[in-house]
Formats: sequence, C-alpha cells, structure tokens
Amino acid sequence: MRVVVKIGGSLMKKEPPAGLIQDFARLAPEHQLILVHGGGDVVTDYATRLGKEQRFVVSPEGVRSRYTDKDTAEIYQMVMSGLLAKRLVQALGREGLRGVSISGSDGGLLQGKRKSKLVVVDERGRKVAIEGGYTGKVQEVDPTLLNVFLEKGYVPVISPVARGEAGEPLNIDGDRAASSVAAGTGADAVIFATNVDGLMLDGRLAERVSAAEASSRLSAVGYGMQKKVMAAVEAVEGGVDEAIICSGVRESPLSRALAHEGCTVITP
Amino acid sequence: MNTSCTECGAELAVPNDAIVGEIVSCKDCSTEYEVAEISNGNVLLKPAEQVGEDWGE
Repeated sequence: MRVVVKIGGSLMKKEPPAGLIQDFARLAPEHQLILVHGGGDVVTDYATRLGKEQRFVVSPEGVRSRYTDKDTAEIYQMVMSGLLAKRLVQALGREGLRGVSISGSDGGLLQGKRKSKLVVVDERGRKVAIEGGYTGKVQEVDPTLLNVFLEKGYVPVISPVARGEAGEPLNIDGDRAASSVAAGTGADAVIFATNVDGLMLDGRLAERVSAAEASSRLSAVGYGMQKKVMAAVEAVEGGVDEAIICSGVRESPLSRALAHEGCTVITP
Repeated sequence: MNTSCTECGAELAVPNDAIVGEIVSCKDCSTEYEVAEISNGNVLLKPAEQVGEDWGE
C-alpha cells in the first residue's frame, strides 16, 4: 500500500514523537510511505523571534489562517523546509530509514496558484477583501520525483510549500498538502496524525464517517480539525480509499490507524 | 451611502463607515460587491471576486 502520513504541527513543536517514528519504521518494509508535515506554531515562534509578528485572519466560513505576506513566506519556508523537515529526516535516520526532504517547489511536485485576494472578517465583523499574499491552492501534482525516491528506497518528507506560477513559494496548508500528495500520487490511504483521537461529533469519537457527512458537519468543529476534515474529504474525493484522523501520541499510532482502531476513518 | 444592485435593481445600502475593500451584498438577490472607491460620500462598487478557501498553514 502507498500511504501518506501527515504529522501535525502539534506534534512538531519539539522532536517528533519517537513512538510515531518507530511505528513508521515498522511499517516501512511493507508499504510505500510518504511523510508530509505541518508546523505552523513553530513558524509563528520563529517569526516572533525575528521580529515579524504574525497576523491571522478568519474567513467568513470561520476558517482561520496565517496571513502570509512576503516576509512571512520567507520565514515560513525557512522553518518548514529547513528546520522541521530536517528534524524529521534526522528522526527517520535514527530508525535506519533514508529520509529525504523536499517541498512542493522541488521537481514541480506541487504547483499552485497564488490567491490574488482573500475575503476575511475584520474586527468590525464585516467582510473585507484583502491582498492574497503568498498562499494558494494546489492545481497540479507531478509525482515523478516522489516515485524516483520511493523506487530507490528513500522516504520522502514533504514540506507544505507549493510553487506558484511565477516560481514563488506558496504557503499551502499542511493537511491539504497531504491530501494533494495522496490524491496526486495514487495513495491508498492518508493518515492525519495529530494530538487528538479523531473527529468528535455529538460528543463522541466519530469512527466511520462518509465524506458527505463530514463535510456537512464542518461548522460544528474547531479551526484545526476543520482543515483536517476538509483535507480528508478532498483526499477521498480525489480517489484515495480512506482518510484517517488519529492521535499521533498513542502507542503504535499508524499501525492502529490502518487497523481502524480508535480513530476516525473517512471514506467515499 | 446608497446605490443600486446592478443585477436586480434593488436598493443597496452601504454602511456609512464602509472601507475600501469591504464586501457588501444585495439583500434581495445576494449578489456581492466590493467597495472600490469612496469619495465625497459616494461609493463605487465592483463585483466581488469569488474566492475559495485554501489559505495555508
């Protein structure tokens, strides 16, 4: 099976959880594994240290995101593709795996279109159109480079940066980077490993949800989970058999996710 | 500041404290407009661009 594993930003604030990496290593001989990571909080931390306070905006639909101007885009790329990606490669190396980190900019893996405008809700509660900044939507996935790495036994580690039409780096949400990679490379499953067990609906863990139901319940979930659910639905609609949201801090998190134990599985 | 919806002709009320870039919508047909310019109490609107989600990390 080809499986994309997305390690959530909540798990990237320090070293990635050893248990998750060890489980990843146990699965590696039997599956083609691709790692995608987040890390927005670390970006914010380093941006603040560099004197660049981060601005967050909320869409009319309630989706909260970082406003990525040019300076922020540079810091974002530095932290994601430099610090966090290499932490993962080093962690994989400690388990005997040959990780190689790239971003969507490399080899045309993730090509995106920069958003010219964003619509946000301002402090008055009113909708305002602002300059789009350096974020965008993935338009095309070229899996060639990934396939070369996988064929040679490397584990690709992908940072959530896409290449814009003018070659510029684009901040693309880590969860949706994972879904784009999963759908664009013909993955069988995508796992979103985070710091909660899965999607909570009506006070309980939703263990099996259709993409349609998940989409219909978006307004009932918090910011972080919203993006995961949106990404999971996109992956499934893009041809991935299942999208799993699970805790990355429990024992054998990935093996148990693939066995559908104590997590949320979203299917067509 | 009032103007008219170009789609349905209904009166379109723009708040007096509107700013350039603000999105206003027609109460009758829900067509959205962006405030392009405010000058001497007059407002110039343009059709609002459709912008989807996907804003990054």
